[in-house]
Amino acid sequence: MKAQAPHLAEQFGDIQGMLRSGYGWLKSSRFWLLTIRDGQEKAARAWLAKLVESGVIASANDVGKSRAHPIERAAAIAFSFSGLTKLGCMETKEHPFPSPFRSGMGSDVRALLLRDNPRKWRWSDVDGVACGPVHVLIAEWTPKDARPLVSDVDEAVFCVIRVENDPCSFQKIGDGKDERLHEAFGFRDGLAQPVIRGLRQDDGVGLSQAKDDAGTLYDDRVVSAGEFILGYRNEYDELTYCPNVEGWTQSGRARHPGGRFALNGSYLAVRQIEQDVKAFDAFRAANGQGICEKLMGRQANGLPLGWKDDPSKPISDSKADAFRYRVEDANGFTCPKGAHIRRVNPRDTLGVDVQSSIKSTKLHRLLRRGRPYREDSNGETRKGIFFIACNADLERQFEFIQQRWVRNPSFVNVHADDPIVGSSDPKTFPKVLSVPGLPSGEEVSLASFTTTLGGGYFFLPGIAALNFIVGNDSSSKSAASEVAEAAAS
Amino acid sequence: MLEMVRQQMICIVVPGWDGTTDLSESGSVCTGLDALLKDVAVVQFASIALLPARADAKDPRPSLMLELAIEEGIAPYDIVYRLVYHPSGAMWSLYSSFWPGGGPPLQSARNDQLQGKLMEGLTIAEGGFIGARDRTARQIEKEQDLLQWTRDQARAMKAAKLYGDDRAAFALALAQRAFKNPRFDWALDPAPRSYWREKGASIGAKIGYVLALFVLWLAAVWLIGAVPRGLLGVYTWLFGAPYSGVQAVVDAVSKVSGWVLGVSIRSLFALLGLGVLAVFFLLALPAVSKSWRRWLKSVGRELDRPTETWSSWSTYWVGWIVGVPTVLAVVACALVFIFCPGTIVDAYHALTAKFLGWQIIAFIILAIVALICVFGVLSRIDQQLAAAGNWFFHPYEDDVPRAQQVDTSIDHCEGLVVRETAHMFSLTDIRSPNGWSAFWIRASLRIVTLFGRVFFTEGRLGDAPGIHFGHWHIIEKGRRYLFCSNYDGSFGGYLDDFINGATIGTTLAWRWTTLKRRGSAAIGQPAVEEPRSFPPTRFIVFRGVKCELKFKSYARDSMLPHVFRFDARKETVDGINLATSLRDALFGERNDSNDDQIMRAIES
Repeated sequence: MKAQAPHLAEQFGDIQGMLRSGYGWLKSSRFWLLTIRDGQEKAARAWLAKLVESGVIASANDVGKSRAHPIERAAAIAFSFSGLTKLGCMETKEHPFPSPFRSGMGSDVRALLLRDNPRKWRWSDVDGVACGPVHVLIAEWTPKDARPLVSDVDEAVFCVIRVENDPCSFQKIGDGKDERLHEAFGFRDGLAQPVIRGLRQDDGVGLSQAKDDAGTLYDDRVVSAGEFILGYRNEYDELTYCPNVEGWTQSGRARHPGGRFALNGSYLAVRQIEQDVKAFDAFRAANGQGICEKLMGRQANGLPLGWKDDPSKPISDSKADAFRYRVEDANGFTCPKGAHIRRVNPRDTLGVDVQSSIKSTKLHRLLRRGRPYREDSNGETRKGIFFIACNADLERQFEFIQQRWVRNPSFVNVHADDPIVGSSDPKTFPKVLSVPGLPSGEEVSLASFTTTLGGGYFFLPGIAALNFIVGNDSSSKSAASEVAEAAAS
Repeated sequence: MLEMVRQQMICIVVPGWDGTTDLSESGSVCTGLDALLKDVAVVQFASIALLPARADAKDPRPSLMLELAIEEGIAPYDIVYRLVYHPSGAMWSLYSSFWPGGGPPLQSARNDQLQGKLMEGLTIAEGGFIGARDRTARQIEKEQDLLQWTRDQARAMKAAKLYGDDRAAFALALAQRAFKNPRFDWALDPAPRSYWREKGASIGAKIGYVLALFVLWLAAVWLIGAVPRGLLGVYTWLFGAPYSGVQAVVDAVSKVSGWVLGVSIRSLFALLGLGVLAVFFLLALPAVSKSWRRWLKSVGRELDRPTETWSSWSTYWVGWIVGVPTVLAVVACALVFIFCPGTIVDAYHALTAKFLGWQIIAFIILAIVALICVFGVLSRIDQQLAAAGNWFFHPYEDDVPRAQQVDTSIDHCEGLVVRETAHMFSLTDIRSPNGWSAFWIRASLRIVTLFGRVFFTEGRLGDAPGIHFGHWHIIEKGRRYLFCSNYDGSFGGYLDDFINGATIGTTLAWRWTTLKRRGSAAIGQPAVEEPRSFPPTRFIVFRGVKCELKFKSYARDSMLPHVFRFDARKETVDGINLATSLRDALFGERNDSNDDQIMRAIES
């Protein structure tokens, strides 16, 4: 008889906390991109093991313990395919990692598939200008002005790229007390997140309140756990594929009978996106805030463009996210069909009817965990977003959205690229946005407002698998070390 | 009717490719082919792939496969003739390596031999679907030109600040400009479409077509009996009674004709009866009964469920124990009614002889009540199990080895055409026994083709959008199965559309196939190192492609890269439809709908 699949509720202790929460109350963040120098694998593993042992890696259990007293610091660790290989984790022949993850976001074929040409990246999971391929991604979230959690990275062991927090990213809205996340162009960020079925997110809002605020549209955002966490049912009602690595089964760390290495993990699609604030401000001065909001598809304060109530009256994020396009705005007269947020989450726009559209869109959702960053160099300040999207099927989720919706000039016949994302590509359409509803369709020429500086696919392991990777107990250490030595030889 | 569609999508498979011809993109063979296909002007899409030999094949060399999607009304022989006898000689360049000695010295003799070889390897599609490419490439090109012109005009008019906010006046001005432009005289006539997407698009036309066919059939059967009878009557009147043997033959023919007439008419009634039952239980009852609707939905969901759960397992077996015998009983009743109506009449007489009318009515009422009770109990059990906890619905582990794997060559091909129409080849093996499987595949594909031709006339197969061409071929004497398709979007998204939008058709098209081990056709091309099976189905049409991971892994492993690709037009299905609708709106009558269509086209 086969074993029953794991119950999500019993596995919270093994799931990294960032899948449960975006840590909205921790207003400072840093991201570390580490490349393990050749011959330093053992030292790297030891350093990572020490970090894990220090208890900073939050689990979904830690996140959900208390809403009144949420955790005061959190970190997460993820690995690129080359990083896993470097640390001695060799995929098994029967359950290898998915091709997109193995080939890496930085590969040439991914550049084609993601419509990224031309690319001038500083770093990636495949190669990099200064350090070579990034092996490890560490994300940390702390209260404002707190000291970094990670402070002692040995540069003899790792080549380090540090992405610093933008201290201005949390701002008050109107007269409200709470500070909310804003990206560098001044728009609310982190809205319209999917809700994982069976894993209530704890971002300070009660479930019943969120449901009441969204009304009948609440279900539109509820997505099966398997769309983000490996090993559980996805929107096809099927268990998400879990890759495995050599030595895992023998390590005895599997928290579920028959559970494979990737159980409770997720894939992160990461991009460092620089925002040209000066260019956007110049565009805003020339065209007005209204057109800027049409580009984005939302008001700067996060309200939908079609919001009919008093905009100064504060409302919950749940309420601000409870809308559809098809009935009230099928032709894009309010929110243009080519607007950024309508491209990344078309809700009920596509498909033959509302229900099939919502169902189809749920196959392509991302759990966003990125934060704005700031870079000061040579007296110049550059801002942007360190974009992180958690998903369980890179091809069906992140790559599909990027290739077929965001960067596709034929998306709903708009004949244009995304107005915000990516540089204009000489091979494709110029950066323009059609604003339907005016006599000839107002058409706005756009600059390239964002540039991708680097990116990679990372695997966010479950806690037990993380301990196995860093060799944090005797059995796994020996198994992993043996494999690493075998690979090295 | 189906032959016309099938002939539009052909594959020419020539075994024994020795790999000596340079098929690189910039090589003379491929550039020559590209020029040839442009010149003949009736090929919508063409591609070349190398099909690896079967593991048990005597000749381990791959086959060279040329796929052609051509315009309606051209016979396969004609298109091959046009390509082979083209003065450029591009086809000979492609196939010359099959004649190691260089072939006959005379070009005409070479072409004759090549034509013969290609016709030998030619197969028309066993089934296929054409999305928006039922138009000619020239029509698509001209309509795109009109679309672009209209957009440019709109920009100029906007820059001149004409017409203010009056959308109707703006649309009218655009229509007038287009109408006056002699470049677009061709657009004065409505856009030509294939019959079922134009005049035959209405449901009345479809019902009328079926009824006309049936009446013609009845007339033909009646004539077969009546004509000999009439002739015999005339003969008897003129010359007296014929030989007794002749009379017996005429009587027999007449009797058979009468029997076939009766069977045909009763078949129609039986079909109508079954249709009424289907409509009653699947459409009418769910509309009025919430619990029936919920129950029906849950049965479908459990039968389709890709993971193994107690709920889906028990539904499946209850289906075998209750559903299958019930369906068989209904079908048996229908067959008895068609072929032995006397049995029913006899049974009725026997019943009325034994029971009084009120007793029969009471029995029927009791049976209905019992049925309702059984349904109620099942429904209650269903609800109780749902409330009892999730153990009943909780899935069991299901191992799908080597999932989400894509060969580098396939990824590369997809990357190269990311801005164009995507394309795929899938080569699988037909399940043993081959003849049996091939028969069912053919039957299924004919149904898919019929539905695609007659009913799905909006360019969508079921709810699956974005298909340009999709065609299936049974090749190598029923041993292997080839699927070629052009579509908008990514491969994964395309299969998602099939899984969600054309589930039954896709399951039927592939359920009799499997994937056996095979080597690669050339260096850098994919091999099948481990066999795979098509995902398991339930009651033929359930589950199957609903097992996303298994289905996509199966499809991915079966894929082959193209080595050459020609696409006469690169517009998406939506782009093609948009341009046609703009043409009809600009040159049609002025009304709100057409004005809106014009504005939508220029605003997009």
